[in-house]
Amino acid sequence: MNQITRHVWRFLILLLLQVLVFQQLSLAGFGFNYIQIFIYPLFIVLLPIDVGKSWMLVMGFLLGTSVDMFYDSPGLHAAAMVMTSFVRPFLLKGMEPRGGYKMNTSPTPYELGTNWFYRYASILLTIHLFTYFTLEAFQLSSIFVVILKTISSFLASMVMIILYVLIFNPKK
Amino acid sequence: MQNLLYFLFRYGYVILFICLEILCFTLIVRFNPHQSQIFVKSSNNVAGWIYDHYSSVTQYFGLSSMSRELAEENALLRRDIIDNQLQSSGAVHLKQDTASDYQYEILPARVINNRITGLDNFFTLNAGSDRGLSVGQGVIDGKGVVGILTDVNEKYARGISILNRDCRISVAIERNHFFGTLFWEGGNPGMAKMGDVPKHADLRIGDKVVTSGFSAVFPAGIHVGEVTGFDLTDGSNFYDIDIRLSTDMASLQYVYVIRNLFSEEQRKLEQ
Repeated sequence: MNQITRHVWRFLILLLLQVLVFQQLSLAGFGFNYIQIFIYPLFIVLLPIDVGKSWMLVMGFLLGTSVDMFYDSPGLHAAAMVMTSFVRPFLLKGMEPRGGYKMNTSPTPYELGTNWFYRYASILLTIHLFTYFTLEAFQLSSIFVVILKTISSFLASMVMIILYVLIFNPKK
Repeated sequence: MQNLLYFLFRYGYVILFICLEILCFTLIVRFNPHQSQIFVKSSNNVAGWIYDHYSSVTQYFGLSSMSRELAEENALLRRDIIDNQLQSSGAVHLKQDTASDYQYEILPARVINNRITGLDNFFTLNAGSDRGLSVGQGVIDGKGVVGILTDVNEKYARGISILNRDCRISVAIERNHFFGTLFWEGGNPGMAKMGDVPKHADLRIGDKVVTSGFSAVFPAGIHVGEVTGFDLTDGSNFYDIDIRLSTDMASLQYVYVIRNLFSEEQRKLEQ
């Protein structure tokens, strides 16, 4: 499968999973609205390492805006996605293994090890969730609610991301 | 140019990032009711804070015009307070003529020159005949009587203050209406004398002294001062009363000129 087609497919699958499954699941009436399951940041997480920074920002924006269309929250997911995309290159640089990355690789458990991948994914996910909930609350006074939501949503989302990675086992 | 291109190539994604975030932010506050409400509220807080401090600075520049407006408004209010006499005097007006409802008009003015150190002191006002001032009108301030106008030209007016040996003002004890004359003999600018009060008058320290309203200059009941001491010289039929003036002549700023619309009639009759 062509690399671009692969990412387009992943884009669509993650988007549909997010809005058709996890949006409903998050609101499933547990009476506890602190949990939001976000799986779509995985798209940014799994993009190839040498993809252009500007391209990544644009793709993050597109996916965020698509999610926003279904969530009826224009700009909210997009802003968090753009932030996540912006941070990723710095994070990759900071987590660069000894000897550097191989050419044309994606940051997957297959390429860089399970341990490394989950550390990397959780940092990005935390940044994404925190940005999202901060913008959702939109005021500093509710910072504790934001932190609580970030933590609880992080745990739930991370489980789903692990499941996704185990099922699809992305290599590139 | 090359540097610019290099810069854009190197940091273009930062600019793109900022643009995209601004776009998202705009979308958020534009289309999400919760966030836009907070945004409007907090931006109002910020704007309110700035305006508050801005106006606390700029209001100093407007102080002179503000106090002029306040003086004009005070003059209007004062007219309503002292002029009720005429309306309650039983005069019947066949026509509803608002001009005849008032016996006195109050005109605000600012003191631009004032002396208190001499024996015969004068003050100058920044209003003249173009504002309706004329010779013989009384001048008061917020606390009491100030003086009487003696020279008026088109733009300015000059008057003798109560701290002038030629100034005689008809006053009365507020409590029992014994009347006398207020005059000043030099010395302490806060104290004056009251004469012509007969010796059978009942006087007490602290009695309020007000204008009597007998002259055509001042309406009745305007504060002048209070009795601080009185004395009956041997063989005299009249008290010698010390009065502490209620007006602080040393810090005079804004005054009101009283224009008696019927002063001519009263003068003609009394001649």
